[in-house]
Amino acid sequence: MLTVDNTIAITGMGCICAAGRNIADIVEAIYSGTRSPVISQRIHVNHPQKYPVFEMSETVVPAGYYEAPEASRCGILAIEALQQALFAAGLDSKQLRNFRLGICIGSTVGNAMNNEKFFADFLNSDYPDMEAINDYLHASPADMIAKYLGLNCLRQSVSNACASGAVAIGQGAKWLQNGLCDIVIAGGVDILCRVIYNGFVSLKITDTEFCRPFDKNRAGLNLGEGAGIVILETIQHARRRNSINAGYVCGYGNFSDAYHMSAPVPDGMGLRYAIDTALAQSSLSYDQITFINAHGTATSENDKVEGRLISELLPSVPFQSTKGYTGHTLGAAGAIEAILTIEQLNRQIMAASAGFNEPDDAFKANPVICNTTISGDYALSNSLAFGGNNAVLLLKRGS
Amino acid sequence: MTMIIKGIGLVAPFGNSNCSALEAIIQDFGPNATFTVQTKNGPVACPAYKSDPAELKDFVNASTLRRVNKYSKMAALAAAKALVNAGYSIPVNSARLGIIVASGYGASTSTFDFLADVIRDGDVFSSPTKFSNSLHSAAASAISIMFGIKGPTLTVTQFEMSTLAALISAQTMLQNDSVDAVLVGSVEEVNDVLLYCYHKYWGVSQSAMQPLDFTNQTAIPGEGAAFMLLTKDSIRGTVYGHLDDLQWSNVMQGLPEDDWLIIPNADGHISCGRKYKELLFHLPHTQLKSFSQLTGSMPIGQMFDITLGVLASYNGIAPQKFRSIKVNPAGDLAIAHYYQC
Repeated sequence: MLTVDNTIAITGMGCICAAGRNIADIVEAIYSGTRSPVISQRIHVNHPQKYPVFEMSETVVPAGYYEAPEASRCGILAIEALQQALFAAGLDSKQLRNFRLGICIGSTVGNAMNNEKFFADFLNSDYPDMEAINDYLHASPADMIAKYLGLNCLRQSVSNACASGAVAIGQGAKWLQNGLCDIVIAGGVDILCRVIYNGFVSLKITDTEFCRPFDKNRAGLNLGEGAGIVILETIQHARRRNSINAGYVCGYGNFSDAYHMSAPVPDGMGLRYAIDTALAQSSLSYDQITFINAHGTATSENDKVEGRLISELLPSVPFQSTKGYTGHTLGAAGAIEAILTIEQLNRQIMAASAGFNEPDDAFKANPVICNTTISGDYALSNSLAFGGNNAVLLLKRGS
Repeated sequence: MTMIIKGIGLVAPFGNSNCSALEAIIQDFGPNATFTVQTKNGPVACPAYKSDPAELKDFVNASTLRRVNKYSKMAALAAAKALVNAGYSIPVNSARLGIIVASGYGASTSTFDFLADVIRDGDVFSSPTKFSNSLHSAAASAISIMFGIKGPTLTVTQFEMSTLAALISAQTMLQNDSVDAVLVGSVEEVNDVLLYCYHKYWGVSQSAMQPLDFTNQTAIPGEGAAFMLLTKDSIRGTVYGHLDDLQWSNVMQGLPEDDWLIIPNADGHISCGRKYKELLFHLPHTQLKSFSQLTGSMPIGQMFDITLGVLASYNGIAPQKFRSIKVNPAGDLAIAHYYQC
């Protein structure tokens, strides 16, 4: 088990999403209440209704991003976030050669062979060439990061649907505790595309308006895209490098509902196990939690189950969903939200939960509706995924 | 940390029982299906190795299986067999068991089915069931739901290195999490698109794989699932042996010079064959053993190699220790060591 002695230091963080091209911009956006979902001009679909998405604008994406093959865009975003994280950690690729490195990246789109043009040509007997397949075979975000760094090292692509980013950070922390690596690059990345858009619309869980997490009138999520990368080290290793620690991973819980492919178990037991496990690893109690960055997708079922569990388990702990600012970035969400949780802990100000107006009688607790001063060291970041996978990170503010 | 192998479950072209695996090892086995691939020059017959997970209905009621795709069925059946083989009753209903599933290509057939609906009929005909099934994590979720497993789940995908990534995660799960055991396995599925890609890359397939002929392209695609039930202790039940010393290495670093049997997951791909040749050229053929000709070529073939090697060793038809290796085109080298006691 992770213990307090085995707390893992986060020595660098990097992030990019529709809310901004780096952490400073994104934090400014969430504290100022800026929400910028759009009707995508890039995803061409013929649904009778339009669903807004948190799509990255030309001013946010790295140079050449939209000109690159779709298969490689997850890798490009992950590398953009990685560069920020390495800079913050005071590391470069040359220095990394001196350490046993691990790369653990969560994604959904980044791991899938879903090239529409290739498949349409195949269906239409146009005998497509292998260019799209070659792109796919070289587009694993973990592999692209290793190639960018010029390093051959332990790597793992996590595909735990919408919990992938959180699970990747949890796995990375375990690698360090087991002595497999000196430094782990962990996080999540995902991009918007027509397949994802159609998939979520077909599930009838997307809102035609801006998403409203935990609101009585919530009508679904807004999809998003982005990447969040953290540099993880043991505290001893970080100390030897004289690192300034942005924050800490103090606990990680991952449990399953064993209930349904696309709905959470009504009693939220899997999420409860995950929260309890994360807390037990640092011997913390519920009342030591300063706030919760909830999964809060704004779908009817997710928010009902999560809202009820928070009401019951942590009734006096303030909570929020940051998806009103970033959209649901799927495999990146757990990583982006972990980073935003650390940033808020370090500033001791919790951002308002965007989109919430009217309480839902289905649960007693309500998210914070304005930026709120907090006082404390620890916060939880929840991630729930299709298939009933629940991942919770217990995070601590930086030193 | 050494991991103890307590159960093995297979869904394979040669059959779904451990006995059929031993028979295949002794008597050999070849491709059991032929796909017709449409090419510019007309239809071409391509051999393949197919598996059949219909037996899953013996473990799960039919209504539960109605919306489950073949990818998840193969994984669930192999998982069920590993659980039963390790002495578990199904459903397990436990939070002290973890699940790790590895796949190179994931549930690509469901992804293509989902795309086909959209391409042929339009966006509004997107199927929510096909979308849910298309996620790589669908198999792990299906196993969790069908058998009441509430512990941690993890799905990893790292092409040829997927099996090693899964085993490393199993080790960390056993070491760090509150679990008694980890169900770890790999799954891969053959479909028309994969066969088309094979033909496009390498032309007409050979009729038989020659895995240890490192200089010719003889790969034939295969599908199936291989699972193991791993624990930290060997207190109760069957102990098939131990897995240890998992290494993510590089071809340049070579292998230790000793007399261990080596099972290279050379699966007839010439790009990797060259690397195997470089790595193994100095070894006598008696020190090498291949199983991929029994299952076909799969990115996750190393999990089949390990499970088949364990069964062979446990039943006295292979040495009591072996080293399973897999290389990828980039030169990464996956190493896992097995020994009986």
